[in-house]
Amino acid sequence: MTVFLRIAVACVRGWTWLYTSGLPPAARSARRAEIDSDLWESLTAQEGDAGVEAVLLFLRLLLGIPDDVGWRMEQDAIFGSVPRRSLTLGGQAIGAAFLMCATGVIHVDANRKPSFEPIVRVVHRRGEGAQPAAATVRFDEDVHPSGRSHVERADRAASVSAPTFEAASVKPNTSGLPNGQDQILPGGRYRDTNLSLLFLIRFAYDPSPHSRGLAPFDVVGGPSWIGSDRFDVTATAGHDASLSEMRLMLQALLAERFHVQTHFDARQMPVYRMVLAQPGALGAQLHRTEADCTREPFDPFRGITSGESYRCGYFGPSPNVKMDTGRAYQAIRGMTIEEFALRLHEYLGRRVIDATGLPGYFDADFEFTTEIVMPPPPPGQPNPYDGRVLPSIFSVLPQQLGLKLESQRGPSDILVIDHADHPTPD
Amino acid sequence: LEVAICRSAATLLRRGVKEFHGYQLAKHLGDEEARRWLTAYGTLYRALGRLEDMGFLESRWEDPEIPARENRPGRRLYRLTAAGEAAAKEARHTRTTTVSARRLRKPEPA
Repeated sequence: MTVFLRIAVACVRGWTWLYTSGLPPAARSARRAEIDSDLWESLTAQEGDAGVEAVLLFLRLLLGIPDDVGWRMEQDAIFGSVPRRSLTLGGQAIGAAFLMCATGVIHVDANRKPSFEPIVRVVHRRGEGAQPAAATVRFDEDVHPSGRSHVERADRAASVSAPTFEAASVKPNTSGLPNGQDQILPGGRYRDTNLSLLFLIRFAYDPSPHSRGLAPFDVVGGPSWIGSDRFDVTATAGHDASLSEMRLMLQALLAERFHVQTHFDARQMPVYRMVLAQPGALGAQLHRTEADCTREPFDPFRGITSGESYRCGYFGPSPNVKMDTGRAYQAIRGMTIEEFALRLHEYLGRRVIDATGLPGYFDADFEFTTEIVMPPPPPGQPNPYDGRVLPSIFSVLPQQLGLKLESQRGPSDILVIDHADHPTPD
Repeated sequence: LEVAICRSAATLLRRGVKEFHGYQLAKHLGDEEARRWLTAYGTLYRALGRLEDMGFLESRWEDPEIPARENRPGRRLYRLTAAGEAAAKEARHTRTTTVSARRLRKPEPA
């Protein structure tokens, strides 16, 4: 962190300390903690020149001072503080804030652990029973623990004590086979076979708990080999882990082994807005779920398994597929319309935003389309869709589900891969 | 600003972000207007407090185990209430870009 940025942070924290002084502990600590959090996020997301960032922090501070003073007076009124104190607070505090800026005082609360200077990176060591060991990276040190000389924003964010796998192995796969697969297994285990780094990034950086990964068009940048070279990855957390935790651990692994650096960029993109084709009317093949899906967690890794039926959170071929009758459908089971819209993203190439206003969970069966094609049937089974001209999803959704897609422009987050290297050996 | 916050919160909600923290909102507001500087600290958090008082937002502090594990300060997470969603919807239908914050009225107690 540069001296200017350091002073800017000191000013923000010093000013916050001053205008919250004398308030009841709950109100005081809440405001200070919220500003601390905001500062931390700002510094973690910092991607430009440190001097400019310092100026922007100063601006955020100075332009907000009238509101800070107003807020303090409101708090005084609420908590019955002495009015005279409120009236004189602004002048006293501004003078003191400048004094604190000059001295570069940072510490707001001696009991709080420092949150801006040291950023702890957990370096995991492979091997049975190995415990995470901590190393320290400072913002003002432009040196990565791995020895690289450039540390960019995403790498810093990824290195902030993110959960890490207890053990991991990354090996190139040179089999030349076309297909690969990834699995999340009980006990916090992750295994991928013959998948590209691009695939791993799409899975690891997907912020949605409702999908299996970012769509290909949601990711840009990076060297060309990340889409062609294949790898086998085996990793274990050593304990059961949620999908979100697994993704964070995989991010940490990719940052360490592939030196992956990324950032999200909000861009205006073409999107689809999902609305009701006819206001107030559901399509004939869209029904409200009878099961109580509020109690069953959504798992995007669910697939169809013989003999099992998923009542909630399922998106895939209909369990009622009858290959020999020539009838097969795509299905949703116990899914909100918002989740359904999210799942269409990967098939349509655009983000789909739910604007139906329909609450609750739904079941539906609809024909396969040119966009959502039926997966190949098991060997020996006829494919009922062979030789048929599939309809478009833009006609199937209104006719069968009563849902319509409208094209428009809207904000969409794009993941930009800033850097990636071939993996370091195990 | 209150209108812009409600609209931003509704946009985040539509994108699957049900809860957001102050910086996240400030960044989103800045991105939407394609400006690099973010809403001032005092202005932002005073407005968030007002919206919470008016019943358009709810807030909670995240589980302390999460920031402890990630070695960062805890986040105060806000979420849009049903009244806030209705206000955002009303704001979206308003053509003018200079909607006064006075349009957001505190809902009558049930």
